[in-house]
Amino acid sequence: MLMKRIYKQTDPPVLDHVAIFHTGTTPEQNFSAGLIDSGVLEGWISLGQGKLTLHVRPEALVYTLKKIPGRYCCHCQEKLPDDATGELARSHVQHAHQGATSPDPQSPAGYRMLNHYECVLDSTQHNKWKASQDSFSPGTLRHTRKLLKERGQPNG
Amino acid sequence: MANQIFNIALGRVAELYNRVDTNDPANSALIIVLLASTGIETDAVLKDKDDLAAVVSGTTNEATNTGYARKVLTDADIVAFAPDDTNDRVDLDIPDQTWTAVANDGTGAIGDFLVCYDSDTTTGTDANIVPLTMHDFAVTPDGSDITAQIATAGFYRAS
Repeated sequence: MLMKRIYKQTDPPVLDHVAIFHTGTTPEQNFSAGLIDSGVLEGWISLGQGKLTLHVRPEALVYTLKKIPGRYCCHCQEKLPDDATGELARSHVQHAHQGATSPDPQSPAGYRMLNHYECVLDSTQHNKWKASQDSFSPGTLRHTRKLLKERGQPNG
Repeated sequence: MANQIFNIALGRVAELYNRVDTNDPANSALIIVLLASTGIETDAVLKDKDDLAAVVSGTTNEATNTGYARKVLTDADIVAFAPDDTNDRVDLDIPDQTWTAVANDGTGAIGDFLVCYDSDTTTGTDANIVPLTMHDFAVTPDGSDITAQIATAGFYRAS
């Protein structure tokens, strides 16, 4: 995913908007909690009704939330209660899946903690904005910058 | 010990991150590795290592605590590549990383956190994994979860 912050030409510079160049190769995207927090504060990200919306230009991108930060069971995918140390999650695994090998090799304890929002982009928008080999060529970036300049966004 | 960039990755970190972000080549990923604190070599020695196999070839060892496993971050996992034109730099960020129920079963403490680049997670060995950055991460596991909190600006800045 390639985004760019576009600033107003003031002193100090003020964020005008965030531009999107491509949304990556797959519709799935995990946004870190830190990015979401700062984006919500800056006004270019909103959360609601099961959707995460990036208010980027030239058009807002609407992602469906699949998982929010927190602990999840690797066996049954259940959202587990959160505490400071993971004790409640370990208790769930011990009682509900005792002795079973974790299906997730990256989480041998049988539960994992997400520090990101797991999202998937609307398929129509993904097809429109997904990355292709052309997305990475200088020509395409130049073309995008030209379009942004035509729209009066000189920092594009 | 201090945070540092491996010599083999100098001038390359942002581009290798971007390669993962654009899934080019397919199956490329960032690999997060924890090093055990016992036996860890000096920054000067480790900085010269050119691949992950070399990093752990001396007295330095990867953590073996129960509950620990490497993290594999693909294009969907890492934060969008976003050049900062106002400050003329690129900050590279990843979500905080949590290892769940990490035991101190005679394996000792954790000393460092590595971000590495693997061009193809489906093949190859540690000799094919390029170490990028190394960060102080001193923690003694006690069976609870361990979270590596990534700085607000990210784990690496190219400027």
